[in-house]
Amino acid sequence: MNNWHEIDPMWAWEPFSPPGGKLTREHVAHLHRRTCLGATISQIEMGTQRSVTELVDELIRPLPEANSTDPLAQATLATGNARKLSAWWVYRLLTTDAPCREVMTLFWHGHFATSADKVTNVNLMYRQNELLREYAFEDFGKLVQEISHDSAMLIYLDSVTNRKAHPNENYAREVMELFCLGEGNYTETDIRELARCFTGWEVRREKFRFNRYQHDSGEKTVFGKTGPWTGEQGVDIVLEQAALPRFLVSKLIHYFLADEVDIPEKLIEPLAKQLRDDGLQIGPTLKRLLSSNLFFSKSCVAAKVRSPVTFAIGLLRSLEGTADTIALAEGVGDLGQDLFFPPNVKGWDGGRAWINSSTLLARANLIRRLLDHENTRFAKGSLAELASSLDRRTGTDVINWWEATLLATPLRSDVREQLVSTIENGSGNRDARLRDALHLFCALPEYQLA
Amino acid sequence: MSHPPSRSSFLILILLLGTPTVCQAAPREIASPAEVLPGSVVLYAEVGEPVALGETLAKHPIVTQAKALPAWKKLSTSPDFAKGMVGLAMVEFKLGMTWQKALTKMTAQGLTFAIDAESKGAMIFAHAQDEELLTKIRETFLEMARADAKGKGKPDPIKTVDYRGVTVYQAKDFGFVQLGEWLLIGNHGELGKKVLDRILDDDGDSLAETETFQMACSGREESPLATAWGYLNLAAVRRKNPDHDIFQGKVDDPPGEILLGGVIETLGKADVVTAELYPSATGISLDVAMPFDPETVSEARAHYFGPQGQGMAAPALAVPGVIASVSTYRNFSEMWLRAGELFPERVVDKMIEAESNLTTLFSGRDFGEEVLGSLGPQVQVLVAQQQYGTDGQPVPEIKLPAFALVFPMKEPEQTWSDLRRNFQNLIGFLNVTGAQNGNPQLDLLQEQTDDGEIVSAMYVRPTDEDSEDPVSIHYNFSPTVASANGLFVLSSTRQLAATILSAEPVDAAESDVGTNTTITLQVPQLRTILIQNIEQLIAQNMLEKGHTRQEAENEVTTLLDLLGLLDHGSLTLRTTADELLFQFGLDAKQVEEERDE
Repeated sequence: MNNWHEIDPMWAWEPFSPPGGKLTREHVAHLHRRTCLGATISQIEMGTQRSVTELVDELIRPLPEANSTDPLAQATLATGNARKLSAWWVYRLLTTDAPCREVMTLFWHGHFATSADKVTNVNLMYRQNELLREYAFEDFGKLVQEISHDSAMLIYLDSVTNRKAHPNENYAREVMELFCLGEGNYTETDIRELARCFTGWEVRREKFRFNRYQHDSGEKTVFGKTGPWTGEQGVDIVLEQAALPRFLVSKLIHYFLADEVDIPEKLIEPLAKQLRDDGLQIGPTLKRLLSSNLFFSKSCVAAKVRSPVTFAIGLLRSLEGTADTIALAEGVGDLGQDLFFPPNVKGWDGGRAWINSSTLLARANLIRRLLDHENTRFAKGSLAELASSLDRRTGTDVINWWEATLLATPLRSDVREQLVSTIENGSGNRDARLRDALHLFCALPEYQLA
Repeated sequence: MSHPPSRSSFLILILLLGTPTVCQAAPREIASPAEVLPGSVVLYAEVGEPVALGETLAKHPIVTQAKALPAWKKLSTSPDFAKGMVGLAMVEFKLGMTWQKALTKMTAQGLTFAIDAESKGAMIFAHAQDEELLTKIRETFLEMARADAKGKGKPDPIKTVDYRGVTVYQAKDFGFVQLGEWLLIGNHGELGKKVLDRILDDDGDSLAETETFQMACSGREESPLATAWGYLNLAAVRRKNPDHDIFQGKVDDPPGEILLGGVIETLGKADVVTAELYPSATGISLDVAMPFDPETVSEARAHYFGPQGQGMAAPALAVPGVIASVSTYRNFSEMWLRAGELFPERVVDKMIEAESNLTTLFSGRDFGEEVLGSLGPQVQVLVAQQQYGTDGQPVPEIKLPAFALVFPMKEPEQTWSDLRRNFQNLIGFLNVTGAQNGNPQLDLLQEQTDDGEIVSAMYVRPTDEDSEDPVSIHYNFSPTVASANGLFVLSSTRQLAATILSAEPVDAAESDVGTNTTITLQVPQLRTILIQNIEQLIAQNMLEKGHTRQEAENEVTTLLDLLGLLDHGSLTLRTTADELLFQFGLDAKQVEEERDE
């Protein structure tokens, strides 16, 4: 991996100008893999006819005004089963026409991690999920205020037991450490004082309630500011801290550009300044990040490990696939990304933590199960039918198609030959051979990278 | 029971066919397939009048109505269907008649199917209208199969060999011969050879000569036309699989024992099972019978059949809106107390553990002996539609049917007093645990009615009535116990319990003698409840199959349309002095007749 300390920040965040003036299929596929869980070959082809700005504007678009009720979500909530809710989200990830907003919702789900294991009420989990979706590209300050009042979060981080006599510091600590500032940017005193601001915040009948009898209305000093702060005022003080935009930009770079790189301050600072200047609106900063030279550079291509969601759902989205989402949600959970059930308050570690000897085997097994499942369809038919409809007749045609849509790095020639041979000389009918080859394809190290 | 036929079996036949020591003889007339099939045949089924059966099925209201469904119309206009129809048209052109007519004539005098235990092969006998017609059909088939293979550059798919003067046609997975008006199709060379040898030599054991087959035939009633009859040599199957669970007489768990315990025991003793199929203009029914001796029922299974096998179900209660009902004879107390004889050790351990907890719940009374023992064995289960919104309760998003268990009480006054108190304790306990889990609380109500007494628990209305969240599934339930006329009712809703108490008692004389169990299903009511939950069905279809909403709606609608063709189904288990009889029936809705009227 390149040394990020040598990257010129001016160049890094300049809008990307593709050589020759036109985006290549590789550029478009890269953008879609990172922001949309992948794209079909026709979406990639169409993308090459447009500019980076047009593509990114299309991805980061506002929510439609009339956001109608989702009947599938309502029917799922009626079951009271959080596992079904997980399947509902997988269905949405597979079928949405605003995939970037879903990818961002997934980012916030890991950021403001809350687990149905502890919350147990699916209605609350769904409401939080909708909140994250609504604010995906919007005002981060408002999102933090909203999430602070969110019933699922209050239950998950024990705010409901935060009484005047015995302040519970869990939520105050996570607001600073995990949600807004990062480690080293606050003191234990700040935590204790902020916890006092949140006293009396409760959940009654699934809704936030302020219990003034349990609220500590005395003066508190948070980050040097003294006053009889309420919880909302305490959050505002945290939002004012200079570390906040730097912390967020750093997380966004790791999520969208490259896992586990040491990002120098000089690269973070320009975006942090923009985020602050934009009043903590996420959208503009994200647009700049995704249309930058750095995003399309070698430093970022194939610099991320596919999460279980991008691994399995990305495959299906790229090949117009649909599947049994209940089984798929369970499969993705088995690989370590159990939607609505993050492992702890820190969310998923991501990056290389997704991969070890057991998850690699489990990844291959999941793809096998997925491909053999009677309810897995590609463009409403078999894989062979999809290949035929795209005029991918030979083994080489097929591998070229998969390489263009699914891989961030080129295939080695010996591997390519083996895959072509599986399609042309393997056992079973053409569809069985294609499924065998796709199974092998998804087990390749190259496919584990996004 | 039977294994898939070996692909190499026909190689064996080829070798056998080539054996020079086998002498040739003229084939004799086949009087009945049972006379030429070997005695080792374990499954035998015949349709005496396939033409009438075919016509009955073709004109059957279910088939007629199914053809009117949008899903059928869509299928019949699909490209694949059209391709198939073109192929069929070519066959019809060659034959000079429709395929239905050809099939009818080919099987005009009967159709028989058999499976042989020794060779694990299967054979079909088709008895055609006349030899000339059968020859024409055979030749057309051979001509078209060979022409198709030739067109695709493939070798001849049908080989012709001679076996003792009989021409045998061999394809990849099957072979056939024509003997006059008979067409014999088989998938195993060894079985084919045995049959041909019997036809040629009239030598060796035949199925018709075996004692079990003769026993089965002796019980065969004079059946109406268009009836299929089947026979299974259970003794032979048992000899081949002596260790199979089904012949060991033990069931793994109490629900399995309640459902099938007595049947499993009978299967372990019976030598033969026979079945008869009666399609009619309004539906279809199937009778399955096996020998049964009430005197030999083990003591452990007295809970199932009653003492000396005389246990009878009570006449089913006539409850309006019922979806399904079960009326049966089961002595739960006796089954519980004899658990050690009926179940494996691990199940018995769990039952002992459960008994300890249940004894606490039932105020220290022994669950098996005193609680279950206070109830009679004529048990009824009722599943019925609910009326929502009549009791001021919110309407749940998922609508479940109400269900109830009805037991006679041996000492009604004392038993009702005990069970009512236990129920009140249980509701108190549920309220405590419900409060801990954030579930709605239950209000206990006690009321006297004209018919008896009802103690019910209603969920408290939600405080936030304006919430957009779906109304909880809890509001399907108002747990209730009730008592009247010596009956104890445990119901999921107060509404159903009250309906049961006021249900007209059915005259005991109407009860069928020897009926151990009757299960009924009212399909229109079942369909209604599915329609009430259509959003759930669509959502489940979308999540499980990855369908779009439109695709899911189409599938669910097709399912509902198909259910709309049916009226009711029933399953009855009867015992007589020498027979255990299952009677299954399914009736179609009489839409066509109504239209005609």
